Amino acid sequence: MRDSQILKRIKSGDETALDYIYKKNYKMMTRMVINNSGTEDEAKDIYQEAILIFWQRSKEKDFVLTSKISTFIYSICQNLWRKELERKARHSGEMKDGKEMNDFDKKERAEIINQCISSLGDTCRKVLMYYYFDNMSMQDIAKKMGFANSDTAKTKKYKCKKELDKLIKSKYKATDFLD
Amino acid sequence: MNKDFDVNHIEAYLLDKLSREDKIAFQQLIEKDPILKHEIQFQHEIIEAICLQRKMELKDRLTKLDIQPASYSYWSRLALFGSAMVVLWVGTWLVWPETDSSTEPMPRISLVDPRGILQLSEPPILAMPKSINGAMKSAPRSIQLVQKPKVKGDYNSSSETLSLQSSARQLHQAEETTNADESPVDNKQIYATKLENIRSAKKPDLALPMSAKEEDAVKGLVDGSQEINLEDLAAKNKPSYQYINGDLFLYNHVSQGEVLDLEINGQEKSFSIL
Repeated sequence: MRDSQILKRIKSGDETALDYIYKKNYKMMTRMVINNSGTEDEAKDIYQEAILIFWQRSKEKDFVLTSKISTFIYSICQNLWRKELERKARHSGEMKDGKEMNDFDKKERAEIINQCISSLGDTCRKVLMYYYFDNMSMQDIAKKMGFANSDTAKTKKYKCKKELDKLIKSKYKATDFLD
Repeated sequence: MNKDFDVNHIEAYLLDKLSREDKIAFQQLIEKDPILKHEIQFQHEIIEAICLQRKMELKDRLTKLDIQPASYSYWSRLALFGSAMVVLWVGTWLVWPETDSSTEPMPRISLVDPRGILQLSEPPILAMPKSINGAMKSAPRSIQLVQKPKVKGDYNSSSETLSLQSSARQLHQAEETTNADESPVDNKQIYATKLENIRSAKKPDLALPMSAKEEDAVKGLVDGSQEINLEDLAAKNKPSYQYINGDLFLYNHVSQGEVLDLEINGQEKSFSIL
């Protein structure tokens, strides 16, 4: 499959195209990390992060690929691994107590939000994910979800978001989000 | 304050979809309104959580794909090693083809003369001579020698060859006789010029001083009256190799190029160089 064909399918939200490039470039990308003092698991994490960054970026309107897909993903992997190595070197010591407490609260809030997202219907969850993470347009969401048109998708997204906000706020008061 | 407008505006601000001016104005509004500020933080955490869940879903999907690990397995290393051995063997076979049953070491291949490897009837003399006398000072250290193939009639019977050979001999003699009565510079210049002309494929300048024997040989080769049987020459002058000052030289009267006359172990011999 050519890069142009893969890119077209990724822009339309076809996840099988993502599987294809993941399998095709797995060894090359992970070996780069392994050969630079990384483990197999770390290499897999870095590669998955990189490929998801590509997945998101490719759907932007002004995105133009000037190299091969593998070259692009390879450069992302390199940057991510370099940052990870720098982070490891920096955070070799223990964290302070104050900072730990703040992270714990944030984690607790995130856990509650995750539960509320999971409790939404499948359609609502997908629409919100395609809009916020996949950066898909309303037209592409309508096509993928089988809606009549982009306006239907837009209305559906608005209603799903409102329902989620209400669900989360019912579990917490507004003041709970104050630091 | 229109709440709906705020939610849309908040989302546009968080997703970086506002223009530069609108963004600055909205930031000023945020600074003034603490409730708006907290609403923005709340929306930010929701969007972050949605993105994280989607990311986990996709990662889970990719992890479940059937892929071989990237680290080199035993069999892949064995396959790599085997491939390397095959390539090495093929390369050796191409560069060094099989010889006769006799255990003759092969001479070096000259990159200048691509006419192939020759098999010598005699093995080269590999032992270093104990005493070495000779004008080796002028010879370069890294010299590659080539012997012309033993093919009858395949001899380049150019008139330039003999002239070149004799001119080079004379040039070398001129270099050695630094204390001669005649001006060494003059002799050297003359023969250097003659050599240069021949090398640049110009006609040998017969006006320059040449011995009568040389002239006859040149004329004979030009008009075809004189033939040279390479096999006879080869039979008379069997090639052999000798180490001199650590370099391997071909001792051969049948040669092209410059010739060095050297005295080795009391014997005077002619060596060809390229």
